[in-house]
Amino acid sequence: MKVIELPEMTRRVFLNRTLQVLGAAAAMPLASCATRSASESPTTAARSTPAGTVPTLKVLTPEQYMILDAVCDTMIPRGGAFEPGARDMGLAARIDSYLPKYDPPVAQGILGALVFVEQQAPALAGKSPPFSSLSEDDRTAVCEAMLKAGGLPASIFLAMKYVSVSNFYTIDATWKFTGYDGPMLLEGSR
Amino acid sequence: MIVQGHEINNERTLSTHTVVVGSGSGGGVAAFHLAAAGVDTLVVEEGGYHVAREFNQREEDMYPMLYRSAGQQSSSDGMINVMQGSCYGGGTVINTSDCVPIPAAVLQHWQRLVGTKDWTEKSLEASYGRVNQNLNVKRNNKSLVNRNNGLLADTATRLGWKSHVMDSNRKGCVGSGYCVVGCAYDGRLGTNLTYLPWAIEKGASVYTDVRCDRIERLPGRKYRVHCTVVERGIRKARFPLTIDCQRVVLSASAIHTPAILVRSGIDKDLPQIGRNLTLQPQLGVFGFFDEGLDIIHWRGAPQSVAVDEFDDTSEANGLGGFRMEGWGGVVGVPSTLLPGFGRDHKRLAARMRNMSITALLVPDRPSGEISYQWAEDGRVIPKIDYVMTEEWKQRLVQGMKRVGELLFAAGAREVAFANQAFPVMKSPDDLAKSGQLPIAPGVANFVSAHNQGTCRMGSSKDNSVVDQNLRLHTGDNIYIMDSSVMPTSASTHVMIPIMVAADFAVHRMLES
Repeated sequence: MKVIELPEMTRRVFLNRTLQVLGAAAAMPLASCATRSASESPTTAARSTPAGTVPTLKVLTPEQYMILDAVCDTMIPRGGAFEPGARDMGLAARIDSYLPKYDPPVAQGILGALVFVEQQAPALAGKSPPFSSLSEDDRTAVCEAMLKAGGLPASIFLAMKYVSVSNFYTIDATWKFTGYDGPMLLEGSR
Repeated sequence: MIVQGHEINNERTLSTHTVVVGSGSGGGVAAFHLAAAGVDTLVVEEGGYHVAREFNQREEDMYPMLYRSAGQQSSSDGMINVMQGSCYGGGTVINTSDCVPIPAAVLQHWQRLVGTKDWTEKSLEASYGRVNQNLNVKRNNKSLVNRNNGLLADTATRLGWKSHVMDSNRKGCVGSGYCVVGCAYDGRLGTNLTYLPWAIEKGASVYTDVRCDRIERLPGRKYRVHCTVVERGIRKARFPLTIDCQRVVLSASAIHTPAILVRSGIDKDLPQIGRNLTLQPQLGVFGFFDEGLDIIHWRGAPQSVAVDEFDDTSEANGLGGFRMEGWGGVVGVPSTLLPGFGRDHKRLAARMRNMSITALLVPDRPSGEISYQWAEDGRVIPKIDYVMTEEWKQRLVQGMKRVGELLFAAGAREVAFANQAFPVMKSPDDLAKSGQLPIAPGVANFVSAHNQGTCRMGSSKDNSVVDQNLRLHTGDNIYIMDSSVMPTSASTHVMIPIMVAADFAVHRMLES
């Protein structure tokens, strides 16, 4: 497996957590990523996306989508305090649908982060890349290792957590699990 | 007149007497008083023009619409999320409506530090009067104090600690709780509902979706302000827009005002530009209460009570100590601050309804600076270098222990800090570990909503960028009226200090 070296600019900017990563890193081919079949359903919030399928995407390539899907599933897996996880809510597709609203350098940075997670992060936990092909336990170990490593890996971990979690708990279908009431719409007052 | 960027479809050249850059706390106040005095005034605002009916109370839509970098701007080490409003009305559209004046001891500290002898409680009195009246500044109605804030006040009282309900600029608030993503009910009097429409009524023009890039000095003490009309949202450059004028008022914030001066080459005569940054980093602290005890931090006034027992403000050091305030109003960002990931994180997130959020505010002394790069299309890329001093960290740890003590006394079963590597605490005994909180990139999370400094006022070029009238020390007819002029942290909430500073300076300008 050829390890992709992130450019210095990527390192510097990721330490900023602002996710401004060079396009070069994001544009590198991800030949190692397991290729899955394409387009199944349009990207909508809270649309369940079975593992291994790729919905219609606005920004991500199918390869990038599969990595993000694995990241989201690691951050918010099924089970625990409530059953549904990221995949049940179509989280990766939701993030893809919001990427055009992000600051362009930030959106580009997320793509660069996916490269790092897929190809470099597994080694931190003694695992073989790609990240997206690892078991849930191994992916969890990789994330723990990223956090423990500090510096760039921890910053990328935090960025991935931010993107996953902030987009998950703003999905209407998750609110019954957190007790959040959602927007207060008083039409008469507006 | 409001001209929105999408209404401009070619390169444009305009002229006016005074250009105001930015439409938030400082720019709004300046624009109104200038226009009211008959000065031909034109405001440029990089963000978009939005109104209440567009504020859908959803974070995923509102951060990109109303915040700088969609709310994702941070310090260069990644530890501090530097939040800034960036829209018609600026920060006054997305703040928590808290109105706190500059303490007298802070003004005295500034006099000592940078010689601002004209800035006294008495000299600012008239400005406070105008600003407070125009913004309907009053004590929050008790019905708006939600349980999240109420338990702070009640428990503080039980512990014998001082606390108070804060003043705000609400009017007709329905308690929806979404102050930080734009009030859908126009229940907060930001400049978008006050100073800006009043300025327009007096003849001012406001151009939104227009980024100010640089100021060119022209012969005869005139200026050409070079701007770019940007695409709303992602802010891609569209057309150049230039404005010839005789005076410029910069109100683009402590992060972006220096960028304009640097790109204009004006920084060469002013070595203090970009220095003396304060961010007031705040730490989120979460208390988890029994199931069945609804905290519901997202309704009511999200930040309405301050526990000020540990304030330590003095002439010698300025704003000091630490304080606790309720926080909340949304669920997306707070959920990112909860520690852990995977099922551990789900366990905490599932208790959102029974979770309190407290902001631990630890005022800082100037310890940062900003430098800049520019993208090919002119977009500013600020590099916010900030150092957390040992003295500040010690106060942070003291504050963590105290806020943990308060939350356990309030009945919390668990307490967590916004830190990825710090364990959830199960009892007050665990608070002794507060000193071990790791403060490192990727692990520590702080939020800054009050960036200040970077163009501070003072007696000379050696210690500051602007004089006591907020005019550049270079003698240019360029003024700065925003948070960047504060020599040190002005207050625990900066909207009122900025407005008062702008009011004070613009009246002096008009009188002269």
